[in-house]
Amino acid sequence: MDISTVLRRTGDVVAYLVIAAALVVFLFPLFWIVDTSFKPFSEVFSIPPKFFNFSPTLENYKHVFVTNTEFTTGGTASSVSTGFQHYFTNSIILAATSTALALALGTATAYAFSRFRIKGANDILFFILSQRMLPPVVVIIPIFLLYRQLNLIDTYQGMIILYTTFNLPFAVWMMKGFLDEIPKEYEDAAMVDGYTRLQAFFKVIIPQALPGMAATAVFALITVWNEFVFGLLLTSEVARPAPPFLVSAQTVGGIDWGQIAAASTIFVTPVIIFTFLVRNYLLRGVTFGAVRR
Amino acid sequence: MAEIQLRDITKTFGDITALNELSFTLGEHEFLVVLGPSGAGKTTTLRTVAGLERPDRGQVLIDGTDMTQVDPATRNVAFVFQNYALYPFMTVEQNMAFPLKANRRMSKRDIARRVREVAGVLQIEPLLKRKPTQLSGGQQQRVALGRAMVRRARAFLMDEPLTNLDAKLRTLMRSELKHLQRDQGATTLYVTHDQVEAMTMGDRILVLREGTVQQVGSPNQIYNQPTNIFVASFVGSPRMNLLPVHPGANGNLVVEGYETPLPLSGRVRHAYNRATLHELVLGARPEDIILSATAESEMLQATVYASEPLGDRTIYDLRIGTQLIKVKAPAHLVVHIGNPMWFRIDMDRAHLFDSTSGARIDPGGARSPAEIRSTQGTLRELQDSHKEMEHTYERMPAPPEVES
Amino acid sequence: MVKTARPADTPAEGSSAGAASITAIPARRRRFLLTDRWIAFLFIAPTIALLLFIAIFPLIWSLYLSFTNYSVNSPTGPQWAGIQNYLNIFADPSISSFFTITAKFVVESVGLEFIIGFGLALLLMKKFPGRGLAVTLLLTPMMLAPVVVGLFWKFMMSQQFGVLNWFISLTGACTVRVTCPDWLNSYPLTPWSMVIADVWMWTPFMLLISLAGLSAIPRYLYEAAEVDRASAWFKFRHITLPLVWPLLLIALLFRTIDAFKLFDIPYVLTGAGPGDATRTISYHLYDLAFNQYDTGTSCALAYIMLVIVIAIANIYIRYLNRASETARQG
Repeated sequence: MDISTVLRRTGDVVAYLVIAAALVVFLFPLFWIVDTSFKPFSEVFSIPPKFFNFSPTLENYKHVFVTNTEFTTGGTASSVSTGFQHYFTNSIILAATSTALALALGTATAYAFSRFRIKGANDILFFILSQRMLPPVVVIIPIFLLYRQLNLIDTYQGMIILYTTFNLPFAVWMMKGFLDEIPKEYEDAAMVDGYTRLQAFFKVIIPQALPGMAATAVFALITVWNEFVFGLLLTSEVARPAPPFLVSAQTVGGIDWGQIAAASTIFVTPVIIFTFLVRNYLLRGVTFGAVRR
Repeated sequence: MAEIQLRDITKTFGDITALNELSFTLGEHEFLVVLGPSGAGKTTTLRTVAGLERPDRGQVLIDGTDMTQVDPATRNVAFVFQNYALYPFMTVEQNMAFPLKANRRMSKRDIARRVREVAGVLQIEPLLKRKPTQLSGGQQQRVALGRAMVRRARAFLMDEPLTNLDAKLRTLMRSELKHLQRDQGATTLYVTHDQVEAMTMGDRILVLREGTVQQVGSPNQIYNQPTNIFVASFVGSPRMNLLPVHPGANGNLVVEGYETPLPLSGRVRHAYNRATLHELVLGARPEDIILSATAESEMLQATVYASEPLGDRTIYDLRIGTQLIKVKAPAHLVVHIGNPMWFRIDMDRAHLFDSTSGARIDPGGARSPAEIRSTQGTLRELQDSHKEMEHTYERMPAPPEVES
Repeated sequence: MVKTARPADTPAEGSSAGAASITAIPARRRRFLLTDRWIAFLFIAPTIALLLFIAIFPLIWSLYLSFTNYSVNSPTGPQWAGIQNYLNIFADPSISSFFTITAKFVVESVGLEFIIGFGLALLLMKKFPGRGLAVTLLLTPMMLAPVVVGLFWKFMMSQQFGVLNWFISLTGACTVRVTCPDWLNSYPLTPWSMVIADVWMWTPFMLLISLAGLSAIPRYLYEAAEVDRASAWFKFRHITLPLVWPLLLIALLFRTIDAFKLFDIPYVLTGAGPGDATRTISYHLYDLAFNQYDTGTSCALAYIMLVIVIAIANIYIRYLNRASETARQG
């Protein structure tokens, strides 16, 4: 074994060590939260922290949905729903609906830009892209005022319109990338064979674009799912999604971290599953479809 | 089957003029090849006939009816795309059935029957349940053909369908396509940049360059009576020799850079007499130059530059002064680079072109007996080769087996 | 042998089993002209309309409000105040400190994310079994909700019971609960807690893009250099860096703007504390608008933020054009 091989092998070992360390660093917090979510209240705060040597419990998960309130008179504790179920359901409704709408509109717009020669196409596309740079705080005040005027505060309609518009630039850019990859000859062939352009769009283009649409949908879902600021400021009760609720959980005795850990685990699980499902499209999704390998 | 006519079609894309007052007529049952280099406007022509592009000016007539503003679906033409455009998410059978479902007038049973019928003609029945991505290039091409054939359209438009096939398959498919077309009597507009395809397949050839028609004619006409330098040099391999010439002192032709003048005779002399300008180009195909290893009468001297043996014949590269010519001659001549060789240009088969416009100077008047003989000869050659093609076709083995 | 298919009863030439008849031309003619253009319009209009409604119109209204002294919960409407709000902002010394806090956060976070992300990407270019899985796992943090990440770290950074301090105490640097740092409530440490949370969350982003850029470099460039006996540093400096730089710039652009906009993490993790130590511009804006109800000033500040974001984007894009030019020539 000569020097260069030794150096190379050492370098490899170091590299693997670093990668392993990185994996630990980036995955530990997730593990820790899930771990904490199964700990009984007494063990949550113990130092030194317990990783595995505790008796797991589902108490925290129960407390996510239901808390015990003690009535001083009569001494009977009764369960009160925390409302988490309601907010969680809202998150699902808002995410699903706004994603479906954004996908439909975005795909249509992307198709028009992909197939037709539109005057000022580049400018319009850039305008759409620039929406991503927009700090939400710049628009949140007027939107708040506007919604107040239109009675859209704390409504499903209001939030769906908002979230759909959030996802539109993304959907347009992503789908344009996917649609550009479908040869124009597909519709041409269908149109020569007797179909109208609209028929060709639905029968030939959409089926081919389905994987791209699925990937776009997942990213849009995650974006809305994770959204916090507008959910916090434009809703109060009826249409409030889960993230603002997660943050506001406070009991008399301080923050019940076990409960928050459980709620967070529930909240984060769909995202992790979806991330694995679209792992081949992560680069595209995360750069708005601007970067493709 | 339909007759298709284009009148003064002009189409621009931004600053680029793709088609410039293009006019031609494609007769019923005829196989017309549009031949030209890339960017000539061949595909644009095809798409205009199909209705996928709308011309800025001009008319598209199908069977005498103005279809210029009519959408592609109504025109009832079939299109075979260069990349086949087969839908990857449908089986072969579904791909072929797709055109028949457009108007929902055929029953499912009739559609299936028709698909099977066409698949039988093309011998792709075993492939019906497969997806296009599982097929070879040749198989995909047949499916694309099949999809075009199911509808019994009035005309077939083909955009370089053989370009993506390997050389052997291409040769095979050429004769098959031609046979199919004859058999179905299909009006076909076929686009290619390959002049061999054009010559072997077309009833007539339209040579297109930068959106402008250069010449329309039978393969024989294109080959033997090219209207300009472009057509003359585009068709024929090796390329026609083009020598810049100007009139000499004693009524003969002087080739630039070559001291010995060429004696004028035959058809070239007729053309020369009609020429009004003095910057001319003499065109002679490699097979129309006679060679000899020893000096003979009326032969001029050249120097051997290189030789390219083909087996039955050899292409000799000769240096004439500063010019280089290629001559196709029997293989038995012994050559050494640098040695002299003697040549004579057959003046009954050579052409004279105006060097500025590129147009051929028409010899006009009576054709010399030699010319008539040579034309007839060429025609007979072509007929013979066509018969040969048919014989070859009869003896041809079955199309490639389907891979498992 | 190809069979000749001569259908026994061929329908008349020119017709097919489903073609529309030629006499229908006048009706179809109009459809041909209008359909494509109508489709283009119908497909684009709703998107543009929504964007105008939710993005553009509020932007303009915000601009107008920034010139008023309106307050959201006041009964009187907006009253013109000229550039007073802007002047107040520029005159306010605390605002400039918030900008400083934000700028420090952006530089520190993005810088660390870049170094760690790019470094990890270099290591991950080597193929080893399980690499795909490792990469996907490493990319998970950036997909989580920022508030959840904030909550995670708030829990882990607690001085009383946080795991982080316990890990640190293992090195012997401090004693848990006694001398170990108070991440969330002490100055100058707390701003770093935000950085840690953000770096944890977004380094995967830089990693992903760096990987994409590094993978795109054709191997033959390296091979040619090796034949010429180039050193590793030379290869890195003259092949890797120039070709990967444009993509990195895009990533940096996205991250810089996002870090600048960041609200969720300061809100959850530190609540802008202790005092104002982690009060970023975003947080201050939120406070101005929804706690102090000072709509006019907050709109003015928001617009200043927007201008800064546009300026940053422009600088990056100019660098980007220059970088891709040199990469293309190289």
